[in-house]
Amino acid sequence: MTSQRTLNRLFTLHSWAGIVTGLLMFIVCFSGAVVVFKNEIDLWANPSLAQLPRSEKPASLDAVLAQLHTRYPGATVETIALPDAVNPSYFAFVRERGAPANTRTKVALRSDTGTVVGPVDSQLGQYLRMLHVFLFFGPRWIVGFLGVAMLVLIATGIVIHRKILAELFTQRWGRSFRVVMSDLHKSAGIWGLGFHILIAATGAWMGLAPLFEQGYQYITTPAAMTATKPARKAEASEPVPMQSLDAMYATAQQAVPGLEARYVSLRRWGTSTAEVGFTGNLREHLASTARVDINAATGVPRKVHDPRTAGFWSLVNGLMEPLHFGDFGGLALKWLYFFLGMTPAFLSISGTLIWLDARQQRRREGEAAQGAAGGIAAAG
Amino acid sequence: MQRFFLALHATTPAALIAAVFVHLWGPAGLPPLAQRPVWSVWALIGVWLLLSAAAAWALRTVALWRVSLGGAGALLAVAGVAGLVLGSAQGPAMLVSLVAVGLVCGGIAVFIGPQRVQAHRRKASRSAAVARPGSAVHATTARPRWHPHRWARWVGPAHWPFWLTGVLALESFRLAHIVATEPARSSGMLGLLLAFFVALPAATLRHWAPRTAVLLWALAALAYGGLAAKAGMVQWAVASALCALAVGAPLRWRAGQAWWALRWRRAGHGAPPAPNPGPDRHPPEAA
Repeated sequence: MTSQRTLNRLFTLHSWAGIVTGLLMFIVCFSGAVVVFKNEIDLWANPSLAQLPRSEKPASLDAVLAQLHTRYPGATVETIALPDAVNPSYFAFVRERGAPANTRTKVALRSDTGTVVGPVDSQLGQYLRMLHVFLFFGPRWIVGFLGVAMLVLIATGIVIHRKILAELFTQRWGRSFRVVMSDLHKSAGIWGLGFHILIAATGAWMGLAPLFEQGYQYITTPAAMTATKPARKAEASEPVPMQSLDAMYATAQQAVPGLEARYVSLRRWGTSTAEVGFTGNLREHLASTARVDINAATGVPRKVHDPRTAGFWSLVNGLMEPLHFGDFGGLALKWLYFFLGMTPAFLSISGTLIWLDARQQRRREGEAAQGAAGGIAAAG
Repeated sequence: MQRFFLALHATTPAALIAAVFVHLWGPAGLPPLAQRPVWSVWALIGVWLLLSAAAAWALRTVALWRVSLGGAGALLAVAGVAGLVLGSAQGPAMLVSLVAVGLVCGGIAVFIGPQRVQAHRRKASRSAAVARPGSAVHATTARPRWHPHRWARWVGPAHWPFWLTGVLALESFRLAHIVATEPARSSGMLGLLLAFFVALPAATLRHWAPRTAVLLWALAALAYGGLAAKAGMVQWAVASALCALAVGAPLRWRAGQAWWALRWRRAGHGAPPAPNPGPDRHPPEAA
C-alpha cells in the first residue's frame, strides 16, 4: 500500500511534470491525432491533382526517372515516392539546379505514364507531420523526451488515482469546477489508458532510439575511429552508367521477399559511388523499416535490412511507426486513433485547468488568511 | 499571462485551420508550398500568437473556450466547403468529416459553461467574506500584484538543481544539434540523455530521496567526466565539476541544518523546531 506521503509526492511530480510539458504535449498530441490522416490530407490539399488516374500497372521507375531528368535537366532527383493505397500518383523530391541546398520541390507524376504533372499545390499533410514529429524546427528527440514525460505522467497518474474502475464511470456534474474537470481528466485518462501507453512508448522509442544508438556507437568505438572521416577520393565519383531502377527494385525484392517499397532514394546518382535505397513495408507484415541499399553502378546489394530476420530489437523498431500512427488497419482504425489521440490533448488541457484552479484557490485562501490575521491584529 | 497561456491552448485548432487555408490558397510572390518553405511555419506561429493574444485580451475563461471551439468548428466546415469548391480529391468525404468534427467542436462549445459547475466557489467566497467583513470586493476579483519575491523564488537556491539540469540539457542540445560535428554531436547526444535520465531525476528527488539524488549526481559527474575524457571537450569537464558540486550540496545543506540546530540548542531553546512540511498539495476533491 502506497503511503499518503508518497502519494503526495507523486501528485506533486504529476502536477509539475504536467504543467511544465503541458502546452508542448497538447500541441504534439493534437497534431498527432490529425496526422493519422496525413496521406488523405495531402491528397485533399492538392486540388490540381484530383483528376489524376490510378493505374493498375504503374509506369516503370526507369520511365519516371527519365521523365524527371527530361523535365528538370541538371536537377538532382533525391527521392521517388511510389503510389500507395491513398495517393494514386508518383511523387518525387527534386533539388533544382541553383536552388538552395536545403530546398526540395515535391513534384507529381502520373502513375500510368510517368509523365511529370508539375510541382504539387502544397504539402499540408507533411507540414502537419513536421509539427507533430519535429515541432517544425527541432530534431525528433524533443518529442521523444515528451514521450518519456508522458509515460511518467501516466505512471504517476495510475498510482495517485487508484480507484480505476470506479473512476471510469464517475462524473459529478454540478459540483465545483475542479471536481468536474478532475472527473473528466481521470475518466478520459483511464478510458484511453492502453492507447496512451502505446503512443507514449512508441513515440519515446522513435524519438530516443537514434540517440541511444548513436551514443552507444560512440562509446564502443575507439577514439581513433571517431575522428573525421577522410574525404572521398576524387576518382570515386566519376560519371558511370547506372543500372536500371526496375532491375534494382527486383533485386531488392529478392533480397527482402515481400518488400513493398514506398520510397526510392537516390544518392550520388550517375557516379561510380551511386547508391539506391528501397524502403517500405513488408507484404502481410506490420513492420515498416525494411530497407535495401544497392550500388547503382553495379546493381549489387550493399546493405539489406529485413526486420523479420534482423533480430528482436529490429523487429520491435520496425513495429513502432505503424503502431504509433495506426496506418495498418484502414480508415476505421485511423478514426479510432484520431479520437483516442485527442484524449491526451484533452488531458493536457484539463490538467492545466485543474492546476491553475488549485493555484488560484490557494492564493485566495492565503489572502483570506492574511486578511483574517490582519483583522485579528487590528481588533487586538 | 495565465489567460494568454490558456489561450495558447484554446486557439491551436483555429491556428492550424488557418494554416490549412494558407495551404489551399498559397499567396503569390512567396516560395511555393511545393518546397515546404519556412514562411508557412512562421505564418502559423504568427497567427497562433496573434489569435492567442487577441483571445486572452478579449475573452474570459468560459467564453475563451466557447469562442475558440465554436470558431474552430465553423472554420472546419468552411475548410470542408472550400475543398469541395476547389474540386479536391475526396472532397465530399472530407466535407462530411470536417463538418462532423466541426459539429462536435460546436457541441462541446454549447455544452460547456457555468451550468455544468457551480458558478462560484461558495466556500471560498464565504471564507473571503468572513476574512474581510464589510469588504465589497469579491475574492475572485482580487488581482495578484507583482512581487519580486515571487520571481526570486524561481531563481533562488532551491531551484538551482533544475537550472543546472536545464543548462546541461541546453548545452548538450547545442553540441548535438547545432554544432553537429564529431565528437560534439555524439557526445552531445549522450550528454542530453544524461541530463534527462540522470540529472533531472536527481534534481527532482533531492528533497524526497536525498541519498538517491546524491548517487544520481555522482553518477552524472562520473559519466560527464567519462565524456570529457573521451571527447576531450571542456564543456563536459565543466559539467562533471558542476555535478560533483551538486553531489556535495545536500551534504553541505545537512551540515548547515546541523549547525543551526546546534546554535538553537546552545541558545537555550531546547529541541529545534521541526521543518515545516508545507501544505498538503493533494486536494481531496481531485484525489
